[in-house]
Amino acid sequence: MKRNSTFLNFPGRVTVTALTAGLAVLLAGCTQGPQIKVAPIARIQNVSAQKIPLHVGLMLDRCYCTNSFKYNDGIGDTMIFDFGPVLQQHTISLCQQTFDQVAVSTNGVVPGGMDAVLTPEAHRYGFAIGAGGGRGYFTVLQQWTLRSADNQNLLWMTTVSGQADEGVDKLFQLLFDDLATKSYRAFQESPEIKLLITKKSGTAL
Amino acid sequence: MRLRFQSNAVIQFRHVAQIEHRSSVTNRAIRKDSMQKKRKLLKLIISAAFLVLAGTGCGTLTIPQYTTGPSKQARTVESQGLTITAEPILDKERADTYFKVNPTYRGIGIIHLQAENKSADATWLLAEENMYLHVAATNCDMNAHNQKVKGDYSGAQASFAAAIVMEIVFIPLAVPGIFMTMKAASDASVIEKNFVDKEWHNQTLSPGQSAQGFIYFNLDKQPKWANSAILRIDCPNITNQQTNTFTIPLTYETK
Repeated sequence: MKRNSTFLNFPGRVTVTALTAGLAVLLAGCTQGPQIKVAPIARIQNVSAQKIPLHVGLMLDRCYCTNSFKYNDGIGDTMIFDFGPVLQQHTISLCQQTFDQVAVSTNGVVPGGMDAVLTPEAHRYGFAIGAGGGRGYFTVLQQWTLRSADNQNLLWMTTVSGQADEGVDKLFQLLFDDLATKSYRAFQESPEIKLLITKKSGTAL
Repeated sequence: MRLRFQSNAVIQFRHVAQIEHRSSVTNRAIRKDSMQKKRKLLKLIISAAFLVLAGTGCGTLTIPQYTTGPSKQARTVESQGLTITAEPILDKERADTYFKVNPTYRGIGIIHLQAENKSADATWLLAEENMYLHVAATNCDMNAHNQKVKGDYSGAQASFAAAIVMEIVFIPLAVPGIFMTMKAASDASVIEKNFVDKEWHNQTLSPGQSAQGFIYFNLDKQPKWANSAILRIDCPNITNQQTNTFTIPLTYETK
């Protein structure tokens, strides 16, 4: 009579091996990353009651509105994070809370009658997984370029680093909150934007 | 006689039964002993695997911010009130502390930049698109823009392959194997993200402002790039649209 195995018997071993092989096959390939669920309005910390008194044309190109980040975990799985639609929505919301008037352009045509033209760019993404697997770490480098009203001359440029580390459920909300707050602060502190305001008020006088 | 024969048969039967019983007891004891030995061996192997796992560390890898000031290797140039200090990270100690990589082995050129605008009225643009590394040995010009540094996931891949083999050979070992894979993949992703965290931020520098960050170059086939390299940075003055070009020689004796 065959003795019982201390561990798993032969059919058990075969089952587990088959499951592992199946898992490996499933893992190898592209999968949609977790859905990016955030509040529809950009949440800015310590937002000022007074907006920056400028009329700004916001240029959102196709690349920005549809951009995604692909993360390869090195063992055959690629996760795709569709940031474009959320970035578009949040950028519009952020600018509307920051500037007096915002004209959004998604077709490349520069809006007329503006004081300056602002163009965002998702410059770089960084993503890391916690050792336990339950926590995510995200960095988004968002570049802001302010040009003259005809979108020709560069006036100001900055890069904001939005960061968050949390479980998947709160990760993206924190990331976009950080991005919005840091971008807002950069607009408020920009010497070139202050100069533009001074010039505009001087012209108005 | 008949009775005697019967009693002899009974005695013989009893004797055989006793022997069989003894043999069965002995077998059970041997089996029990074998199982105990296997359990001990299993415990030993799992403990060893977990010790290995504990040795590698279970928490998420943390990499400190770069706080070190310029060393003797740093090169500073100044023009029209804009000062730029460039310093390649060539020593293994700093590379390991702040990037957890061996740059020569990985074929990455890591250069720390510091810029300060001391001019009274000029605003300078410092963007990766305008930064070039010229390696004389290969007569190659590389742009710092889009030089994304990929993480090294070979450790995770090896652990994953080992975990699968362990599972097939000896199932309980697969558990620490999977944990080791997760840890290795996590470490690689943290190292990759760290390059983004420390990257130079494209920006304009107004009078009195300063900035610092790293630029990277993928130099797979040029491990001794720093023997004869020149960093060129074109900085447009956005006030008058004139470009201030900085040429910084990065030439060091590397082994």
